[in-house]
Amino acid sequence: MSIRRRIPFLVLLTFIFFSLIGLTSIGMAKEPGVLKVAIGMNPIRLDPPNATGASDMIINSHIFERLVQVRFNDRTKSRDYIPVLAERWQASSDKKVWTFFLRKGVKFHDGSPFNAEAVKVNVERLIGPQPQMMSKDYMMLLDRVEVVNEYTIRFHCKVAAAPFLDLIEQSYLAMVSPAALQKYGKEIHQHPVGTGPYKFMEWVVGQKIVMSANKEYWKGPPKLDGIEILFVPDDMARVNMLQTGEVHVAYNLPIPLIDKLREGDKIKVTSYPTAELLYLILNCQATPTNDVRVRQAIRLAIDRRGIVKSILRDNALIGDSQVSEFTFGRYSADPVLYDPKGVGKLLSEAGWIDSDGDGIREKGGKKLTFNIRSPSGRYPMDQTVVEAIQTQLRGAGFDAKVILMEFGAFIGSIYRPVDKATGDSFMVSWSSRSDAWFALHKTSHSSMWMPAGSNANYYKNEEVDSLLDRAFVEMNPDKRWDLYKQVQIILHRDATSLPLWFMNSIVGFRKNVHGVTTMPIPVSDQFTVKDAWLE
Amino acid sequence: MGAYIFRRLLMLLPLLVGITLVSFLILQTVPGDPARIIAGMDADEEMVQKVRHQLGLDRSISIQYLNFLTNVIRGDFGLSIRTGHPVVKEILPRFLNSIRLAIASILIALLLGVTAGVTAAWRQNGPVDYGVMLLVLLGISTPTFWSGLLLILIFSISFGLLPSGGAQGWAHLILPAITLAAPSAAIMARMTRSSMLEVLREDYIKMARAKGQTEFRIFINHALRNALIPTVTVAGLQFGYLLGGAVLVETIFNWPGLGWLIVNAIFSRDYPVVQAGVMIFAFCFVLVNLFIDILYTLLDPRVSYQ
Repeated sequence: MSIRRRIPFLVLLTFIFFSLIGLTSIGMAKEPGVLKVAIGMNPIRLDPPNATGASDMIINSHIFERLVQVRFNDRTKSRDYIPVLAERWQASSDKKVWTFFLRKGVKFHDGSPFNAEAVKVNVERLIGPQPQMMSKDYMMLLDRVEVVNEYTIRFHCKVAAAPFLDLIEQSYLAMVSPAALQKYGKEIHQHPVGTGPYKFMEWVVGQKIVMSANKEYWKGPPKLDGIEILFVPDDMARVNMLQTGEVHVAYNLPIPLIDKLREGDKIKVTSYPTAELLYLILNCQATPTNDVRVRQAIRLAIDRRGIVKSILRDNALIGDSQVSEFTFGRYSADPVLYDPKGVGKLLSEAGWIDSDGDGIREKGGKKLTFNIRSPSGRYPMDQTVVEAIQTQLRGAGFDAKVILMEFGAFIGSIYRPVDKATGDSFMVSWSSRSDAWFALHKTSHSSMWMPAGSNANYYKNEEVDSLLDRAFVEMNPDKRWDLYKQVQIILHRDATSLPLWFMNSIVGFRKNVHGVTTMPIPVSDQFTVKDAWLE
Repeated sequence: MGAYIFRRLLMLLPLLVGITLVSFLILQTVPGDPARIIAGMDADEEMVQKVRHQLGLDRSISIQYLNFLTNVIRGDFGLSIRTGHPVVKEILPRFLNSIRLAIASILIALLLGVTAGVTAAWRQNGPVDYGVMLLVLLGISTPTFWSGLLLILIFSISFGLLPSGGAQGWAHLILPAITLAAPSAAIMARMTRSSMLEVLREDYIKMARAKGQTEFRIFINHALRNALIPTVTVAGLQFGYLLGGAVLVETIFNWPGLGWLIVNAIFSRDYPVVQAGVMIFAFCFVLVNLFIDILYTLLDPRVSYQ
């Protein structure tokens, strides 16, 4: 074969290459009025009752709305219920029947009307014979919904729940267009259609989600022409794109780079606390943590303030309770002491003494050892933090072993019935949302032992159970607050788990962007740009 | 030749079945339950069971595998456990991205590597040779996560010439392709240099010199063509590596490629995506090898297949 005969072949190869490259649009298009936002995780399901990850919630908060939304009021230090798709509501005197009067003239993005029938369809997705994933246990209290007239809907409850509005307010009850549900069926999570300020346009799998302004939004059209949410998993890549201006906003920035980013004059970084608590689950059934003195000693041996200051650089709020500052029913029974001497006293009382002088305490020939499991790269600085905890525990005579795990295997090792439990401690997060019921019931009630609920301590205390059961139906807010207070005092006494800190939501944005908001509650609005505009 | 290609393609079938079996079994031994991962921290056991049933994960392993295999034969790779999207829809755009990046990188690597190798051989043991070989050493020993960040720092952040991440168009391809190409280029340069030196000692080169041919013709037409066979072999292997091993580069430049998708699928125990991804990689590897074998016949007329 001569060179000449090979030329067509080479031309073909070149052609294939260039056509592959040409498949995507060329150059960096800069549309005015389109806000570009980088978030760390790919969304999974854009269907409110089935949304699980933070990225799903961030995107959904722009597209969907609920009947009512809870908000923390900074001035009164309490929660407000903001009417959204419901203009007002009314509870029957026994608090078992709630009537919602809906906003008139609201349309879903596909043009279909929002009315009582649409609410009914959405609620029945949660309580019907085939309930959606996330909803079931929170919605158990609902018996049925009744359409009174086109703009009035009534919820009938099996029990009168004190945190009823907080349960209704959750993001799983965001309103999806019934027409879209019918049209897309099982694929609804790829075609979100709501009533919110932005319409879903396109999902480029693995790259971005494109939304455009909903010009007919009932509050008036939003200020931006559109929003593009880019998925940029690497922390450093998000920082780079923010620095070069390829994105206007980047969510969840690495703590060590915040100061550096703030140095320039183009970027602003905000860091606000959330209701999301990072805590250490201590197994109350397995040795050595089944001894309350050992658990108390662990609490005293870890310098939470020191870690928050030096490792997290104050980008967190000390965990002095299971319940966050933004949550109804909070009481801090924990003075957050770091007391290595007290540790020694407690452990000696419990019979753990360092008899062979190796720095690790023993009892009956067994070393004081336990494992701490932590995911790696899931929480801010998690690896550094858990290693610091290990070092501090060692100083107090514990031989704590750290097992860093990839998240999938990690949660697989938590969700086990007590007889199959590892006996280890776990570092995980949990949001206390707007009501202490969320923070305490699933994690501390004895009916909620893994895997039925999320009580991974396998903690059982009848007093706590009864206080929580009473709090759920106690309608007097002061009395209810007092019941939660008692629970928190007992949980602190029993040192069931160790609250570490409430993690901050850290957002960086270019200075020409305004209206980026981070809110402690609700979880769904931890970060949103739905009210943002560009200068 | 046609029969040979056909035979080679036929051999793919048992290979692919073997690969799916091995990857399926490996995934089963990894701890972690996809149903729990999907249902999330909040869900109770009943919900997790329901999810498990929906996904068919409550059936026996052999049934799961056979179901998977029969569906694949029908061209259906199933739905991603994690996202619920069809696996094909998840994989295809990322696969095209990976191909774009790999082809661009291999072209850059070939261009740089062969040029550098020939130049070094041309001035063997001179300062040019040492200079080139020093660069080659740098290319091989610099990890891509560092050189990538360095390029971003220089070209994106300091000068603002090129985008630092994403895959929107031409401009986005340049930095990741160069980063990814550097180690391969270095390997190819070494390969080209040593085989060039070998070939240059052959009698037919002396012959060509004796005929009075120009040095340039001797180098390009006589020496390089004969020296290219090992380089092309390496290029083939490198292509496979560039396609699948680009996870770090994909991460740094936020390039939505297949490697990154598969790593994530493994993390979320998304069995169907992992299976399909591994199959595609295996398929590409075999195809590239076949392509290289055919390329030999073009480079060296003495090579032929029956």
